[in-house]
Amino acid sequence: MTSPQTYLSEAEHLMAAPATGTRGLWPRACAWLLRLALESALDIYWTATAPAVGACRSRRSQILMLSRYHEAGSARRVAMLWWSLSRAGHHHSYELALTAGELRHLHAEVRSVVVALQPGSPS
Amino acid sequence: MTRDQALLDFLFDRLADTNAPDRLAEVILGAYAGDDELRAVLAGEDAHLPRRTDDADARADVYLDRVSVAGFRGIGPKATLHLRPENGLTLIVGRNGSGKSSFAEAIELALTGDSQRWAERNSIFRDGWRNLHTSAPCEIDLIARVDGVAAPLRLRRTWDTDATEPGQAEASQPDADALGWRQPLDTYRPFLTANDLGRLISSRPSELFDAMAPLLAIEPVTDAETRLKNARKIYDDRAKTVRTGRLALRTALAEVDDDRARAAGKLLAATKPDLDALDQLLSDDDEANPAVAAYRRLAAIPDPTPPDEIADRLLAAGSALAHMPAAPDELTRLLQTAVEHFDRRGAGACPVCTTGSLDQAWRDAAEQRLGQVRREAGARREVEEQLRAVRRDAARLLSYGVDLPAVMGEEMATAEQRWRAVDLDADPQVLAEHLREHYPALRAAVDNVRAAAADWLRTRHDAWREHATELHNWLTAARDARQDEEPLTLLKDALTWLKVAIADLRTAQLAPFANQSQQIWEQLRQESNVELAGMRLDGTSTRRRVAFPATVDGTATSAMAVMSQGELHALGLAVFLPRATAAASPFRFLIIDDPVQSMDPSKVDGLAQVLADLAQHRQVVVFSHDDRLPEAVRRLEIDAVIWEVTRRVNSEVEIRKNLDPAERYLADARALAKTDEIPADLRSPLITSFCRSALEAAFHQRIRAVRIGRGERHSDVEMLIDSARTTTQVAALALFDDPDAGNRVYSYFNNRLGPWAADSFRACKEGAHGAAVADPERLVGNVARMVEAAR
Repeated sequence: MTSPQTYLSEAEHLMAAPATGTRGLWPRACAWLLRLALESALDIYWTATAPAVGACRSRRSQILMLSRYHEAGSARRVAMLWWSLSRAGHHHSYELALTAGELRHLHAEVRSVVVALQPGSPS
Repeated sequence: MTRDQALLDFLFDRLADTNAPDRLAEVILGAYAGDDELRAVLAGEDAHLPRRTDDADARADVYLDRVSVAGFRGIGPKATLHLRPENGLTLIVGRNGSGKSSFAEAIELALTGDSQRWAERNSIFRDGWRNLHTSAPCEIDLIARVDGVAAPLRLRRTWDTDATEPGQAEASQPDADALGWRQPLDTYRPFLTANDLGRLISSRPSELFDAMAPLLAIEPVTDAETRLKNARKIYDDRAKTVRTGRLALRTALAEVDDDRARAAGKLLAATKPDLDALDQLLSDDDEANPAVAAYRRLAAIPDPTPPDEIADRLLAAGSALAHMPAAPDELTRLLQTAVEHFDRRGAGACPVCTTGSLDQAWRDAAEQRLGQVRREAGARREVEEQLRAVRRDAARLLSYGVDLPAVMGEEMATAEQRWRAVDLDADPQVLAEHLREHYPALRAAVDNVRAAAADWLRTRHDAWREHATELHNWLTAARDARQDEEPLTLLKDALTWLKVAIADLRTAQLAPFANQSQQIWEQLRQESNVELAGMRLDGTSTRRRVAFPATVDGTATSAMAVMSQGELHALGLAVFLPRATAAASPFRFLIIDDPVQSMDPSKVDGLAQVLADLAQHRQVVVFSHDDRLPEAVRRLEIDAVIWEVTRRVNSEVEIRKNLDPAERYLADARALAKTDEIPADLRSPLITSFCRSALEAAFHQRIRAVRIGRGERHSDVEMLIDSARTTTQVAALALFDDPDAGNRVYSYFNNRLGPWAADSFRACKEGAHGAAVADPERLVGNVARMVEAAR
């Protein structure tokens, strides 16, 4: 299983310098990597906290459950992040890819959520 | 210039059509040619009047090839935007802040030297013209193509590191001014920004008028009108001065008690006074006037002769007479008779006394005595004669009199009366004393009369002289004004003629633009119920405005009053697109920045169509902040090149061809599948995510094509697409027109395309969340086939 940190650092890498042949595709790719990082962090969290919830296939349900197990504020942040990152990963008519600034903000948010979801961190 | 030649042709044709007299035609052409020519024509001198010529210089069309920008606004390291220097539509799409508008501004700045946006924004905004991350080099390099010139034209602006204003650029030569582009750039403004559109539509009516008026390119004719008006004002002022001067003179003269003033006043009563008569009046030296002649005589009357000599003579004669013996008496007569008796009878006795005798001795003594008496009588007669003579002189002296006007005659009359109050036959001494006594009073009265007459003459002269000078000045001005009458009439006729001509010219020149605006509005309005009924340039000077008569559901109104923001925006486009693409404009390119703001989707379709039509004959470059316009362009199968602009950190701007979104996702997925720099386990979910987006994009296109094709409203279709959240729902909507038919999707792929399709669909859904894909490149290939099938 790929760790959230791997996804995060790869996303950071992609934002800073273009990989060969990825000219212009990085905004969407980054967004998806960030979402994967978030999902990976959630998986780890549920495995450690409540394996039954982790077995549930619906991410939406998992995120709704989070407020029962974790501090309500960060649960809301996860829900927000997951929504905006999912949006970036799907095709939406008329919408253009995220800007560098938006991605930087999302990256920082995911990073802090990933830290908050680490087992052993205060909940 | 050809444009001016066309105007001249219009004037010549119209002068011929209206059978304008030669002088009128000369005045109009003189006014067209310039101030000096107009003055010469009015003065009847030779003037260089424009003539009909046939030479026409060809317009050199300008297209844009590419623009490279570095260190300017949102663009850091040098980035180049390639445009095809030919007719056609180019869309440049990028999020806000991606740097696309920086390109639009850079093009405008390279051409105009200062962008409309810059000029009007505050200093904080202006400070941001330099890129924050990369301040050097700072340059704009615009390559344009001019018809008939093989070498590309380069317009380059570079800024030193210490430049603080965009205006401090060093520009390559020739720049827009040297190329003669300044005026056409102002007139046609081939740059349209959302702000411009909003601002111009919501600005004061006169500003809009001013923006549109140059488009008609009739300034040489309106300038001629201005010259005529100015000239007429000068003539009018002069005529007015003469008119008011006449009234003022009349009023002033009415208070002058002078026959010349009265005569002048009478002459001035006419609105068009007899100037020659006035001239005659002024040159009159007053001789003919009997009153003046009388006063002149009075002023010159001689003094009455002093009476001294006459008085002396009177006294002398008087005293001589007094000392003379009395006149011959009877005795003398008797003696005379006796002598005569003696002479007849000879000596004899005295017949009287009869005692004496008359003899020769007696006769001798008598004769002697008689001689003495006769001598004495002669002397007396002489003195008496002298006295009569001096009395005659005195009578003459006493008869001294002056014929006087009653007003000044009193003192004189009294003096004369006293002077004459004496008996001419009185004793010479009395007479002499009378003369001596009353002379001084008479003399004083005469002096007074003379002084009074001189005074009268002086007063009369002075009173007139003042008004005469004024009258003289007025007369000169009035004669000039008479000279001005012909030019003034000509000027008035010329203005009347030109006013109608300008109105017709304006309508004629505006008609093509108004028609085009109308057509564009028809395409843009789509579902709007506002119907535009043309565009007019109304009024003059401070009341000038552009009128947009419109009907809302059949009710007449003004377009501006009833339109929504989006509609006004569309109206702005309808009004300004024809201007920017005027046939006379050398600029064959047109830059439009963000035209789709606040437009609803159906208007975007209309806009895409309008742009496509324009692009047939123009190089149309459109910057847009979202994908609505490119989507409409793709759906309507409009031929266009689409570029997408993205900006990394540090203002590194990337530009890449924006294909159909499904194609783009597939291209991205294919590129990632080949990129070894990213670890395979990370790449796999990215590739499947892009594959899934490609499928979704293809499905969206199909949904839209089917439903909008059926006539459903854009907004309803968009809402439906938005409501389909999962990939399966989207597929169901696209394939079965039913979002709830998700359960039929897999079997559809299985049956229609084969198991690989159903497997690929599943891989796309699951792989995106981390499940590894065995052969990413094969997956991309499969999805490409599915996208093809979905269309």
